[in-house]
Amino acid sequence: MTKKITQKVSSNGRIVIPKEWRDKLAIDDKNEVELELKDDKTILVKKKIHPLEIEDDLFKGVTPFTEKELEEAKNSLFSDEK
Amino acid sequence: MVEKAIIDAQVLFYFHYEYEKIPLILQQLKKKVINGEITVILPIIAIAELLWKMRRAGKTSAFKEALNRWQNSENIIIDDFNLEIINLMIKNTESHELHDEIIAMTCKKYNTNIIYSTDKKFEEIFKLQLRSW
Repeated sequence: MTKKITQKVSSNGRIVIPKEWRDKLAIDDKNEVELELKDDKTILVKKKIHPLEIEDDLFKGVTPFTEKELEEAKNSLFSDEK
Repeated sequence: MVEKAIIDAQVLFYFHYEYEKIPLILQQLKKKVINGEITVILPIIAIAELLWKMRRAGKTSAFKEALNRWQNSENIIIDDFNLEIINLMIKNTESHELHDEIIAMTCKKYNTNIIYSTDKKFEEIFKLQLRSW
């Protein structure tokens, strides 16, 4: 669902993100936002997130390294060791 | 000053694993990275070890995506194995087991003694501050 509001822009270009929207996206004064200009017509404001914040469990289904695997990986790099 | 730490292949794996299954200390580390409270350094050989594992698991594309995310993180540094490490290795007398030596010298290169790993050798031989789980 798309929500729209209309706002006045201040003399130096500032606008306010409505509190309700800030709360929904957990945006506070520690966060940064990214502004994207599309086709010289639309400005998109996105909460900047750290790449590690993407919660898609990329490695789900794989088990963590076992001691044996760590050793094998190491030997694969430097096979003449040990 | 923002804290700096070296991380090993297992930590890298846990960064993209199911959050509730990650050891507590690494959950805390991940939060600190996300909040910009720490800079983590990834030795290239730790990345190679993870590639070795993910390739065997048939998850090369997931690895590629993870690599892309590390490269796009301001406080994640991917350290290439380079001449500076070799010069530090020449001066090093503690241990000449290449794998551990390269990782320990990466700590020296970045002027930190903090390492997230379960390998006690980093503490015992190289006198690094081991953050284990």
